[in-house]
Formats: sequence, structure tokens, C-alpha cells
Amino acid sequence: MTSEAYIHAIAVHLPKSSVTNEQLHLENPDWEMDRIAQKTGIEARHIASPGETASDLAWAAAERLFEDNSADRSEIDYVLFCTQSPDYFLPATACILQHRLRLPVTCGAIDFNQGCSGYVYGLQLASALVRSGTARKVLLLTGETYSRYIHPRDRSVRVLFGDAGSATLISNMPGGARIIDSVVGTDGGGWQNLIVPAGGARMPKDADAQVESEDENGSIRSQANLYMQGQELFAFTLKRVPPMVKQLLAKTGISDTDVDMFVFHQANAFMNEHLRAKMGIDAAKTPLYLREIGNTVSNTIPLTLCSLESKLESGKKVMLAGFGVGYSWGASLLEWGAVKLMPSQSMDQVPNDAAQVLEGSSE
Amino acid sequence: MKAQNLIDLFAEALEVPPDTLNRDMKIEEVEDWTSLTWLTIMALLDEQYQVELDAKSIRGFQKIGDIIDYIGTKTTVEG
Repeated sequence: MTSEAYIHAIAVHLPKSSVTNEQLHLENPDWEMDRIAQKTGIEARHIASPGETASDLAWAAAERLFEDNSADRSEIDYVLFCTQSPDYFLPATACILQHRLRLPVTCGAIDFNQGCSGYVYGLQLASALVRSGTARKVLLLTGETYSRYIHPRDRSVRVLFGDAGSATLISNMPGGARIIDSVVGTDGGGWQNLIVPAGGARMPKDADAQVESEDENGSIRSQANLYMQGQELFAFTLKRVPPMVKQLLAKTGISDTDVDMFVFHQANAFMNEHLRAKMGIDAAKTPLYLREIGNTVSNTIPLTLCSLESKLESGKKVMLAGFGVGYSWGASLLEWGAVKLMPSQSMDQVPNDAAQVLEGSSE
Repeated sequence: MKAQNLIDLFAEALEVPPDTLNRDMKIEEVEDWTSLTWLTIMALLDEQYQVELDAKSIRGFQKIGDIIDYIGTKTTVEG
């Protein structure tokens, strides 16, 4: 069997409310938001409202695909949901989404727990399901609400992360963006550097775990909050991402100059810009899309793709690369085709800064 | 590279004139030397000298000279 897998439609959804740098500065007068914004490239982030979960965001994105007739719910035979903010410990949130989206009972449904590498992981899994003939139409959902884990006084993460959801239809029908190949990698040695320590089986979320303390940078958090060691994450990214990109180019027999667009996980403008310069890629080929939305974890790649409508043409080679929490990383190479892109409706006011280049960049 | 090149690099990261920094200064006493400064230094070192700095080493540095000495173990640094 020589079946191929294609992406046919991508929809994204952002929660309505947005927290701006001005608001963060009012709350935390000691946070130098201008300086932080200059580094991160982030001026606002959308935040889920109380009671709104990651699956609500993914659901809203998926409903748009169905309402638009970009996907037919009766034909979905597998749903993959990527999240680190599940509705419950059990059941799998994907089961709840199967029911809520009125997908067939013959449909497979699983959650998988990945962060910034999650979208690429989802494409690799969906492609494997489709190419093997196991499934014909896979719905890949991502949804993340890191805001729930973030202590409001933790500058290191609060300025960066935003919430979002996405839905992608992958099938064996030719015409969409062909998933040429993917590579993934793992270094669990970095597991402690981006983590919510308490609340799972290893560390109960008891009274001790909820004791708040201040770190050397003046940020406050408990063991039940998100913790990020930014320097370690930065060092990891510089070490692993360039070889990953080379590995995928070698595997697919394509040279870097033949790649028309590199859609990297939108970690922050400083990191992405340094990564781009290190790899010697043209700024015009590496879109930045985080000014009004922040780092949305597994949603950054579909959000960026949806912002690129006019720049993506059939036949163009597009490399996607995700990297972060785990440590986990992955890259996929696509040959672009007819893909319905549906930017978030609450993004109407969001400027398309796809060609934005970090100010003060040395390149 | 010369030790002065590294002082220049730290000054660039801090956006201050190089002559305001010297080997014997305590890092915690340098104004505006934040976690963001470290990220900038990591990026500049990687870009200009292909030297990787990790968080564990950073935590061990007391004085500016400690950083220069550490980099000296990774590459040649002349007085």
C-alpha cells in the first residue's frame, strides 16, 4: 500500500479575553514590561475564562471545520487530542470530545500528553494511521490552558504563555498538504526544567505542595504551579533544534534552500530569532506570530499556519518544527496543497505580523 | 579571543559602556543583570564563539571573572 496522508483543513480558536502588557504592569509594577516585550516579542496573550477548558477551545475549533463543511463529522474515524490540561484524570478527554462533537461511535479516540512538540507528534501519528490504512479521516485536536497552572506573580511564565485550541483534518484523499515525512526526538533528562510538579501521582497536591515561595528573581510559585528554567530551555533548544532540522532534510533528501517556509514553534521572539540566525535561514522564511497571542504551546504551529494564507502556495515545501517540555522535539516536512485555513474569529483585530522581525536583531 | 572581548560582550548584553565592567565585580551587584541578561549572553556567546553556557554553570558564577575563567576552559581566552 502506497497511500499518502494530506492535511485538508486547519481551524484555530482563541479564548475571548486577552491580558495585555499594560495590565500585567499595573498588577506588577516591578515588572519591566517594555524590556520584556522587546525580548519576547509578546504584547498580549489570550486567556481562557473561568470554567473554560482546553477541550472547550479545541471543540470550538473543530466545530468551525464542521460548520464550514471542511470536514464531515460522520466520516471521522480517529480523533487525537493533544493536551497537558485534560478535563479529568480519567476518562480521556478525547472520549468526551467524540461525544460532544457527535463523531461516530466507530471512531478511535485518545489523548496524548505533549506540549510544544505536540502538533508535529499529532501529524506524525495521524499520517501513520492514514498511511497504514488503519484510519481514513483523522481529526487532530490541540488544546492548552497553561494559564491554569501559572501563578499570577510568576513573571518567568506569565509574560510568555497564552491559551488556544486547534483542529486539523488529515486524510488519504489527495489535494491537501502532503505530509512528506517527520522526525521526533526525546531527552527526558530535562523533565524537571518545564514542569507542574504537584497534582499527579508522584507528588500529591497537598497542603505542603501548595506553599508558595519566592525565587531569586522575585517570582512566586508553589509546587502546584508551572515552573520553567528558561536558561536550560534555551540551551536545550540551541543544542537540539538545528540537528533535528538537518536530520529531516537528510531523511527526505531535500536541501535547506528548497524549503520555502520554516514554521517553528513560537516560543518567544528572542529564542526564535536566535535559532533562525544560528541556522542561517532568511528572516522572510521564518514567520513570527505571537505578538498578540504569546506562546500557546501545541497550538503555535497551527495558529501560525492559519496566519500565512497568502504566503503558502501549492507545491511549496513547508517545514514545521516543535520543541520544548519533556524535553521533546519533532519536525515535519509538508508539500503544500489546497488547505482550508480558518484563523480564529477573535483574531479579527490581531495584526498579521507574519513578516515581523525582532527589533534590534543583529542579523 | 581576549578577555576584553568577553567584557565587551557582557556590556553589549547589559547595554552599558564596557569600561563600567571589570573582572572583579560581583554579578549580583551589577545593576540590571537579570535572567534576561543571561539569555542574551548565552545567545551572543553561541553566535560569536560557539560556546554553550548552561544554567548549572551560571548558578555557580560569583564574579564577572568567573564567567571568563569558565569560558577559558571551553576555548582559548588570552589575558
